[in-house]
Amino acid sequence: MSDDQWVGEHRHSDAGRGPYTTNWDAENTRPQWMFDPEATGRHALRWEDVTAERVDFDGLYYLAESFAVPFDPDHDWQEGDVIPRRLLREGEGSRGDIRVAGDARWSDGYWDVTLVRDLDTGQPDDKAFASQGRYDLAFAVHRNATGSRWHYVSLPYSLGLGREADILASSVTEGTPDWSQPWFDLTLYYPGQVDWPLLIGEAHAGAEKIAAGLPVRAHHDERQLAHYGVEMEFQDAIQRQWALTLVAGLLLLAGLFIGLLPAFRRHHSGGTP
Amino acid sequence: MTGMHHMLAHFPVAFWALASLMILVGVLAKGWLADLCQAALLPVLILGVLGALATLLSGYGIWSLEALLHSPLTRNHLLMAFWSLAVYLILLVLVWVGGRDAFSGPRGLALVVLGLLGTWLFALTGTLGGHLAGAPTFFSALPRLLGWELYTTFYAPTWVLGVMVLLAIAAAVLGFRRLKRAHR
Repeated sequence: MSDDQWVGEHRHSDAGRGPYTTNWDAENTRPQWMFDPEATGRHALRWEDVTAERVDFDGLYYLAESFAVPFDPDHDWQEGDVIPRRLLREGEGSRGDIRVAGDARWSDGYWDVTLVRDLDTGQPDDKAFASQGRYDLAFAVHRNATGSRWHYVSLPYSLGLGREADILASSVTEGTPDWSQPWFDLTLYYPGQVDWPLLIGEAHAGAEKIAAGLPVRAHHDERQLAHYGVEMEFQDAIQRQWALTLVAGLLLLAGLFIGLLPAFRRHHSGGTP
Repeated sequence: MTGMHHMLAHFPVAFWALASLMILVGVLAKGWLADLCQAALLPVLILGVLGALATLLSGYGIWSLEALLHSPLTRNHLLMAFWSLAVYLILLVLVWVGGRDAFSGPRGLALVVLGLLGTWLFALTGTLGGHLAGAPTFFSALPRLLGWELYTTFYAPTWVLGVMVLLAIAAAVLGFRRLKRAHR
C-alpha cells in the first residue's frame, strides 16, 4: 500500500481518496465491512492467529475493498473473531499518484519495495520533476505501523536527474530498472519530539541560521541530532539532574578546599618566606 | 560577543596550562627552574582566573540563557567551565596561603592532583567550545573512549550526588576541626 501525503504542522494528505478508510460504523457501533465469505471462505480473522503472528504474505491478513462485503450483524459471531480496523482500497486523485510496483516483501531483515510515481503528475499539489533538474529530498521510515511517532528521518539530500547531486538518478528508457547500480547509503536517525516552534524559537541557538536559510548539515550531523532528539524528550529531567550535578561538584570542591586549607595555613604561619 | 568570547577563552587556557606545568615542575623538580615556578605561579593563577571570569561573562552574551540551557553541548561546556574555574580558584588560594611550603610533601601532591584535574576539566571545556564553534578536535575521542558521548548531557545519578555532598560535608568538617585546633 502507498499513500501520497506531506508533513506540515502535522500529517496532511494530498487531494483525493486515500488508500484506506476506517472500518467502523459509528452510528451503529460496529464494523462497516467484513470478509466476503464467498471470495475468502471466512467472515473474519481469528484473534489467536493474529497475536501468534500466524500470517504471511500469501495468507489473508488484511481487509480490502475487492473482497469485502457489508458487515452482517446477524452472522453467528464467535468469541475471538476479529475484523481489521482499516479497509484497504485503491487511492484516487492526487493522493493515489504513488503506487507500489510489483509485490512489497519483507525478507532477511529488509523491506523490498518499489514505489512508482510519474515525473509530472499534473497535480497542483505535487512537485513536478524534469530531466536535468536538481531537487531536495529527505527520507523517513516509520516503524510499528505508526504514522507519526517513532520514525527515523534523514538529513536532506539532493537528487539530480541526469546532473550532479548527492543522489544521481539515471534515465530508464525501456521496461523496468534492473536495480544493478550501486546502492546509495544514507543515515537515518530518530529525531525525537522536536517541533518547529522550538527550532525557530529562543530555546534553539540555531534559530537565526534557520531564518537565514542555512542548511542543517553546516552545524549538525546525524549522530549529534540522534542524541539531541532523545535529550529533548527528557529535557526537564536532564536539565534538573545536570544542574544538581553542577552544584554537587562545586560543593565537593568547596569541601575539599576547606579540608585542605589548614594544612597550607599551618605551614605558612610557621614559616619559610 | 562570539568573537570576543573566542578571543578571551585563550587567556585562561594559556595561563592554566602554564600554571599546571609550573605546579608539576615546582613540586617534582629541583633547582632554579623549580624555584622560578614556585615563585611565579601565583600571578599566573591570578591572571588565569581573571581571564576565566571575563571569558565566562562574555559567554553569556552569545546566546540567550534559554538556548544555553537547552543544548547538551552548552550545558556540558558550562559545567566544565564552572568546575575548571573552581579548581583553579582553589589552587590560587592554596598557593597564596601556603607560599613556598605549598609545594612540599603532601601539600605538593594535593597541588599536582588539583592541577591535573584542572587541566582535564579546562581541556574538556575548550573541546566542547570547539564543537560549539564548529571546529571540533581529535581530543573529543578521549572522553568518548572513556564512555562519555559529548553530545549527551553530563550528569550523575542521584545516589552519586548524595555521595558527593556527603564527601563535601566530611571534608569541610575535617577542615574546620583542624582550623579550630590550629587556633587553640
